[in-house]
Amino acid sequence: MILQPLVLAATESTPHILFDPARNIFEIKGESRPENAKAFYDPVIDWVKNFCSGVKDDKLHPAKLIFVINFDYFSSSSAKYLMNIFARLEELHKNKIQVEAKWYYNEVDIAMKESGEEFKKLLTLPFSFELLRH
Amino acid sequence: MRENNVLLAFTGEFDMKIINALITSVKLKLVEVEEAARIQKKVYNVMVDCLETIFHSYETAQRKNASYNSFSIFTLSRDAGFYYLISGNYIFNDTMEARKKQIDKINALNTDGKKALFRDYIVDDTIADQDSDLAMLNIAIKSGNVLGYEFKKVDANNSFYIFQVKIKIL
Repeated sequence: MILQPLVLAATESTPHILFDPARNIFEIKGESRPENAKAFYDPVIDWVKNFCSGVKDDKLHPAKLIFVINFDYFSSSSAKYLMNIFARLEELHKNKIQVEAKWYYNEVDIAMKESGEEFKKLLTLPFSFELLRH
Repeated sequence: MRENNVLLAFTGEFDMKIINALITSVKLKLVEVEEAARIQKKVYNVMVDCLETIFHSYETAQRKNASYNSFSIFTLSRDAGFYYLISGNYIFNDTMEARKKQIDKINALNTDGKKALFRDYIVDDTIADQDSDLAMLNIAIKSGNVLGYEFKKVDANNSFYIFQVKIKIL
């Protein structure tokens, strides 16, 4: 079964999410402060779980998965779910599948870079930072 | 703090609609009053965490007891040296000690300690009691200052919890 892409349009308080294995696009952008983080992120985590199972079974194997994270803001409760996504991608990395995280941050938002550094400390997958000019 | 330095003051019941409106309003106000984009961003980040904390504590208390008084306050002000964010909401007296301990524990940590605790919280769901633990820690990390608090006992069951954080204007 082919896994359908996950496409969530951005709202005032939730991010744009596009996970599309066929086009090898995995990105999350914008503001993440959902009223109920669990209700928002559970379906996202389920999608990532299914995707990772498929990749491990070699049904869906992107050349190199680049996970783009480009938040303007993310709430503390979103951080736990983001970590859950990272942990699942890290499993792929441990299974010799190429995965890289690219953490975008604005030059005026050093706290955003520092938040990315905290995630990086918890992970072994390649993790790079991309500076956005204001 | 002079009264004319108040950038935003809200009293009433918080819901997501109100929070979104306040966030939009502060975003515009900060562009007007704060030249440094870096400080604008910092104040914005801390403010969103503060508002979310009020909202989460309101939700948690309401789940526990439908008679919870949801009246809350939030102000954002500034003087020559700092931005001040103050929130106030009712809490049940039986949760007061836990809240005090939570804030005292955060205040006792240095920056690296706070960041290490943040990492612990996001990898292990069982450590943090609720989302507000993580939000409070995030406020302390982003503001770079100690968290101030005060509890004013209202009656046998309720207290008014005042929370203050300041952000240095460089």
